[in-house]
Parts: sequence; C-alpha cells; structure tokens
Amino acid sequence: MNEATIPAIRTANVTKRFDALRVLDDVSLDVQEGEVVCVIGPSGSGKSTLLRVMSWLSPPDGGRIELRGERIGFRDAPGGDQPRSSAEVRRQRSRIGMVFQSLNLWPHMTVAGNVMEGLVSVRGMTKIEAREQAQKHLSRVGLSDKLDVFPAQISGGQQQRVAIARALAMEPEILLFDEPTSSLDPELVDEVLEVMTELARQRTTMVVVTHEMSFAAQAADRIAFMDQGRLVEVAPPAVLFREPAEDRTRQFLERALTRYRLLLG
Amino acid sequence: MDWLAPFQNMPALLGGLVTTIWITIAATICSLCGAMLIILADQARLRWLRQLVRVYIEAILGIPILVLLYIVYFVLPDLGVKLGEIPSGVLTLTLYYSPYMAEVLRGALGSITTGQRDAGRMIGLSDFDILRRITVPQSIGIALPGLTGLMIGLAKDTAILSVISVQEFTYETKLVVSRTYAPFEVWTVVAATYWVLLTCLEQLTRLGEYRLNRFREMR
Amino acid sequence: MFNSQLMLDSLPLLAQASTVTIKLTVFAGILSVVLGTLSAMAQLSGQAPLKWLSRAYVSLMRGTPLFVQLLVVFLTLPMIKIDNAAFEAAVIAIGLNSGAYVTEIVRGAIMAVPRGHVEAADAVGLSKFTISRKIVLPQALKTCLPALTAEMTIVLKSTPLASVISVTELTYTGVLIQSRAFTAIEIFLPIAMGYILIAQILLRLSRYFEARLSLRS
Repeated sequence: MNEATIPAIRTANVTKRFDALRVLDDVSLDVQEGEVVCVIGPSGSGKSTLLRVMSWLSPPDGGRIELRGERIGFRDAPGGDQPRSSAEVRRQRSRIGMVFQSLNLWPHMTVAGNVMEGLVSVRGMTKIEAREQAQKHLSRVGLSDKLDVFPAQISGGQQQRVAIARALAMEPEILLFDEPTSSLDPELVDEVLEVMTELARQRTTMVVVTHEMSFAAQAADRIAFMDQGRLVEVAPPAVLFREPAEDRTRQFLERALTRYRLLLG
Repeated sequence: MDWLAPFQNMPALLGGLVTTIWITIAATICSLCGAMLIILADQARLRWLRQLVRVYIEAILGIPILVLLYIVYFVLPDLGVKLGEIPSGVLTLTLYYSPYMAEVLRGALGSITTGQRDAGRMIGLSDFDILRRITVPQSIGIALPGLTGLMIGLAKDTAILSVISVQEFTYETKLVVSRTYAPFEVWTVVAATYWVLLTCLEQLTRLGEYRLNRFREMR
Repeated sequence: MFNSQLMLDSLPLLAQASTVTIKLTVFAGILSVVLGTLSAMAQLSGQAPLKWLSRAYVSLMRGTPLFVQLLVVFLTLPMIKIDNAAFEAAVIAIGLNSGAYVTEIVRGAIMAVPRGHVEAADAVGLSKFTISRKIVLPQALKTCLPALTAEMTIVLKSTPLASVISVTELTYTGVLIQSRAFTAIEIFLPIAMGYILIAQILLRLSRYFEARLSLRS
C-alpha cells in the first residue's frame, strides 16, 4: 500500500452496544494526516462514544480501529485475533491525545505538574527535561506565566488550554476533542477555539466533536454528521452546509444554523 | 480538698496515659489496615468472601463496643483463642473501627472522578500509576477529616478497656482514687488531661486538613 | 459444645434486663434531645454568654470519654447527698454526653429552615418566641429526624457502660450469668441480637414518625 494514503486513524465498521441500544452502528471514517474532521449531530447520536472508541477508552463490540495502519487493541494473526497486552495498548493510546468536555485536570498538581506527568511517568524524562517541555507547550497555548499555579486558581478556558498543552506534550499523532467548549462559560469559549484554530493551521491531525458551527465551518477540512449511532454524511463544510445530501442532515442543520444565524443578528 | 493527691500520684497516672496513647496508635494503624482489607475484599472475585465481610460489617454496626469487648475477651477463649488483656483490647478496637474507616476510605477513593482516570489512561499511565499518582494522593486529603474524627473516637473508647483491667489512663485513675479517697480532685485533673489532649488533637487535624486541601479552595 | 439449653434458660432474664436497657435509652434520649435543643438555641440566640456556655458544654462532652463522664457523675452524686443512684447517674451522664452531639444536629437543622418563613412570620407580627415554637422548631426537628435517630442508636449502644456501675441492664445481666455458667457464647449471642433488635425497633419507630410528619405538611 502506498505510504502516503495510510490514514492517520481509520475507523472501520465499528459498532458498540450498551445493553440493547446500538450506540454506534457500523461507523466507518478515515481521517488523513494533517486533516481536521469535525463531528456534529444531535445529543445521543454517538459522537462522544465514537471518540472513546477511537481512543480505545471503551473498546468497540465490532469493527476495527487502525492508527497509521497499526491495529489498536488487537493483533491480526493467521489463527484469529490476538488481544494486545495492556502495556501495548497503553503505548498505542499515548500516541493519541484527548481533550475532554469536563477538562479532567488533576487538581492536586500544578499546571506544570499536569503537563509534565506523562513525560515523567510514561516517557521516563527527568523532572528538569519534562519541565522544559511543559514550558514549551504551555507557551504554545499562551499560558507560560501560569506554570506553578493550581487548576483551581485559573479560569475554565485557561484550564482547558492546559488540558490541550497536556495532550500536546506527549506529541501525539492525532488529537481528539470531545466537545471541548461545551462546559465553559460563553466568554471563555473563544480563547480555547483560538488555540484549536491555530493547531489546525499548523496541520495537526484533529477530530473535533463540537456544537460550535462557526469553528467547524472555518477550521474543518471535512464535517461528519452523525445521528442515532450512524454516520449519515461526511463532506467539506462548503458542501455540507449549503447542499447536504441527506434529509436528516438538512433538518439538523436548519435548526442548528438558525440558532447561529440568530446569534449573528 | 486534697488537690495534691493527683499530682502526688503522677507516675502511676502518667504510666496509664502512655498506655492509652500507644494503644490508640496501635489500634488506629490496625484499623486502617483492616479498612483496606475490607475495601479489597469488596473487590474480591469470591462471592462468599464478599458476603462474609458484609455480614461482619452489619454485625459490628449493631453491637455496642463493650459487648464486643466481652465477646472478644470471654468468647474467644472458649473457641480456643486465648488473648491477653491488651491484645483483646486492641483487637476489639480494630474490629469495631475498621468498618467505619473503610466507609470513609471508600468515599474518598470514589470521589476521584472517572474523567481524571480517563485523562490518565490517555496519557498512557498504567492503572497502578493512576492509583499512585492521581487517586491516592487526593484521597488522603479527602479522607483525613473522617479518619481523624474516628481516631479521636477510638482514643476515647480506650477508657472502656479498663473494665478488663487494661492498665490505661482510666484504670490507673480508678486505682489512684481508691488509694487517695479524693475522687473529685483526681478525676478533675484526669478529665482535664483528656480534654486538653483530645482538643489539641482535634485542632491539629483541622490544621492538617486545611493545609492538605488548600489547592482546592482558591477560586 | 454449644449449650442451647443454657441459652434458652437465660432468655427470660435477658428479656427482663432489656426493659432496663430500653428505659435507660428512652430517658437518656429525652434528656439528650431537650438539652441539645436548648443548647442549639443558646448558640443561635446571639447572646455571647449563652453561646460561650453552650460551646464550652459541647467541647467538654466531646473532649472527654463518655466512660469517664459516667464515673464522674456516679461519684459526684453522693456528694450532693444522692446515694445509690446508679440508674439515674447513667441517664444523666449518657444524656449529657449525647446532648452535645444533638446540639450540632439541631443547630444545623434550625439554620436550614428557610429565612423566608421566619421573615414572613415576623412580618405578620408573631413574637420571636412563638416563631421559634411554631415555625422554626417543628420544621427543624422534622428535618433532623434521621440524624436524631442515628444519635438515639448511639445512646442505645452507650447503655452497656451502665453495667460497670451495676445497673441491671442487658449487658450487666449477661456478664452475671456468664460468670456463674463459665461459658460465654450462649449468652452474648442473644445479647448482641438483642441490641440489634432494639436498634431495628428504633429505626422502624423513627420511619413511622417521619412518615406521619411528612403527611401533615
């Protein structure tokens, strides 16, 4: 296979069930290197579950996930699928970065401590090296002056930027964002979107689940619309927003974009 | 009034006080271990083990500590286990306080959100690392108020051990009172001593809680 | 070998002794709630000496072992010419001790009564005393009923200490029988069950009252 066409992350025929409910129903999505894919859709459509499955936080019931061609969680073997050891899975996971809706910073560590933790405990760096790296990544998100404060002492927007720096510090091959601004006060949303836009401009591979249509419109290379566990439609924003192929997409966008247009006045 | 009596008998009283203190420390440590065993047993795969622990906890919550002491001191020898006074006392305190401490610990460990653990998993931390670097450090601060409250209760309950002749503070006091015929004076001094020590302990723990949990409070 | 005959023979005596335990619990419990409520109101009264008195009382009760308090009360009563009052000493000591914990419970419950209710009553012209009696206290006591029940269970579990000053309650009787029979488990098993049973009855009673009080509002 041509090296250049291996997607950064491939989701192939993924299904996930919670009891009788099919939360993900045969979802297939390839994300290319340097691409930004935004996932939109109504609540309960499975968007967050898709990210959890991609990162192997909740393994799927069916289908496969491939990170740059390497299958996550299992090994393909002639006799059947062999599960990977937990150490291997951990290593695979650390190549994926995730930013959560509920921030999930560790409150008992300083900002620098949060960013350094992976570098010290997983990559084996010394505290001095790790702190240098932390400084570098915190500068990228504009928080170089907050290294030694605790998460409780900074705003939600600043905390989320620290979370992004923490994910970036592990130098992941792909960054997943699960509704990163949904739990923030409105005036704090922009500072986070600015960082994400800059990352997109630097050709970071990103999958972003979001309700922020304006961000999706200008930063995404493609937008994926999900509804009731199925991937309904994937297209560049110009196409999806103006001429969606599916009725369900049209219905959702009409409601979502009306709100957006009303905001603009 | 013979106010010299308590002070003339200081050596005996202090001896009892020292015994009280180290029984408190020993029983607290044992109860913490017991609490951790209870929490581990809850996660055990063997159903009968989980049931057994649950029955034990239900029983303890309903029995007065003096009755438990008598059971340990009188019933165990019938079953072939002969313990001396102090081991019986420490065992009783341990059996009694472990379930309460387990409850506090369980609450503290459970208050660390799944999200924090997910973030750890995404960074590549092992389950053990997550326990070590994220869950336990925070849990200590959260559990401390409850645990120290229980320890103070335990310290007070050491007085009950005097009924099986453990020579702790209260026991020695009773001896001194019967020797000096000055119950009011001696008991006043002894009660004041208990009060000073226990109140200091309470203040110290409040200080400790404040300092350990400072990082939470600041917005 | 387990002597079930001994156990069965002891039951009548133990049953009678448990009535003493129940009487101890009830009297100490009433004393505790009355003292605790007065003490809570003292702390909320805004009058500095009352506040200080209540706080000193709570600190003293919580800073010393109940067992020591019991022995002190028992030894002190003869000093004011009351002799042979082991039962009364136990009621007083346990009630005093528990009252300190009830103070905190009732104080929290009173503070939890919405200010709006008090302000409305004040606006209508009710006196402070009437407001306390008819509006604040009933609501507060209803709120803290579960916590009070838990405290009464603790009072119940404190009654065995009275056995040390020879009150013929359940534990004292048990130790007595044991010392003559030289075997322990046949007696202490029913005693343990007895306490658990009485505690269950307390719990049911409390749930019954909770339900009745909820219906009224």
